[in-house]
Amino acid sequence: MDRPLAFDPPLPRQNRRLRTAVGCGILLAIVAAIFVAGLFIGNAAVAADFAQKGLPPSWQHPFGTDWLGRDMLLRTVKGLSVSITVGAVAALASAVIAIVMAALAAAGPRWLGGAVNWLIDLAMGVPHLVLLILIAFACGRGMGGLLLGIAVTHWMNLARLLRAEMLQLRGQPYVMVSRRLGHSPAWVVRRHFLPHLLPQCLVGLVLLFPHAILHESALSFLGYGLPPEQPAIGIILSESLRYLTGGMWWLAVFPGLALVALVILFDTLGNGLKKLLAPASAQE
Amino acid sequence: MQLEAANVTFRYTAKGPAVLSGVSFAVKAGERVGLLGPSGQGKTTLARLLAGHLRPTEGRVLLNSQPLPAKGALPVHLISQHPETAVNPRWKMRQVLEEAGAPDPDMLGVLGIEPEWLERTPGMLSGGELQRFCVARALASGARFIIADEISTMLDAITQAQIWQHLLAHAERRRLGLVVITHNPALAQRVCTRVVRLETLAHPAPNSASAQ
Repeated sequence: MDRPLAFDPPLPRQNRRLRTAVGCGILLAIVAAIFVAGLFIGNAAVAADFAQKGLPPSWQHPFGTDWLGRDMLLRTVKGLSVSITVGAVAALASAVIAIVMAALAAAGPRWLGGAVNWLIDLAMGVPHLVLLILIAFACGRGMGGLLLGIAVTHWMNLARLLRAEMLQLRGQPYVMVSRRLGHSPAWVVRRHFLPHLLPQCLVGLVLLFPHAILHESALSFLGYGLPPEQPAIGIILSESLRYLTGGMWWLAVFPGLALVALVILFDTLGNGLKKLLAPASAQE
Repeated sequence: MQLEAANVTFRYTAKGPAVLSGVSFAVKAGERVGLLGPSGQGKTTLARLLAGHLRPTEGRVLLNSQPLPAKGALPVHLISQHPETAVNPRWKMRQVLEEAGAPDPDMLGVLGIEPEWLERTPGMLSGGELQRFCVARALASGARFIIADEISTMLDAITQAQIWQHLLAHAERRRLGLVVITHNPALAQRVCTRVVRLETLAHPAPNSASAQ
């Protein structure tokens, strides 16, 4: 009678939920730590020091130093902190656009729904990076154009998802029953719709982060994003290109790896949240 | 009190076929009307029209000779064939019941609802258990008319008998109007004061076939 059961017994399942929750907490703490650390690294800490220039990784400088003698670990952390800020603002703006679009499409008249759908298809049909470069270029180099570009190119997936969810909810018999019991539309939205949509919004928001961060770095790397004095990962990587041939491999490898790690971290966090908050859609 | 569909025609899409065409039907307080008819002929559509979940393309649904209000509370409650879609899957059963009004503990006992089920979500209950909650909700809502759309089709015979027994007792005591939609003529004969067939309800009968 030791055969494993075809279904999860209740205790381990609870443990997996707990494990996911603890994992998400740890990831969130790491993100917060990087962000706060970046805020505390002043310009003095990454000032040029020609006595230490071009040092390979060592215990004193784990990521090495660059051609101006700046510590690469500190610069990388500061860059990641900028990336998190950009990611947060851009993802939030994207999510707001997505929610508004989805609400218009689901609650508005039929032609509006069609128009929003058309807009979604159009925006999805254009390659991200091309649109991003166009917008960032049109707005001039800097944070504003970058944020705008990322915000208007990343809302489509979430908008489409939310619209479908709202349409599906609106036709549910239990929503009909609720209306006919005399509950106001606001009551129905608050009690029936929001608890259903909030997890999707939150998960969608967190999963937008890695995209936003990667595109920020890509744009900065190409020279359309943040200005060169900003310690962003994209800037660090594009500067390092000039010194790679001189054998200073650590200028690109460690900041690059750190960026990939941050992106994976956000992705894991988003998927963990999905499992916790929207278990039914976690397998999609 | 009387709930009435007056010469109702319904299409799901503007150019689609007429699911119901010129149908008239009425139920009075204290009456239990059985509605029989083959699958796909619009029994459920008529139920949803009477309960105000849908609005007729032509014709009117009247309550005491007044058109049904387009929104707001309605003393007509539809119990659906699919209880699992009629309750919010994220809610505890206690919330589901309280949405219609404070449930009477005696009634829950009579309907065979165990107290611990109240703390469960719909996914943790069977179809028959959920249907008991839907009946309890309908009775707690204070509705004067209850439309029972094949509510016992998927239940075992014992559960069926229990649910009907309690529904009928309540309907009798509170003089509710009841519309009983079923495929089972024996059930209709047993619980209803009068039985009608859907295909006899359409008045301009000559057109109903060609309207498809």
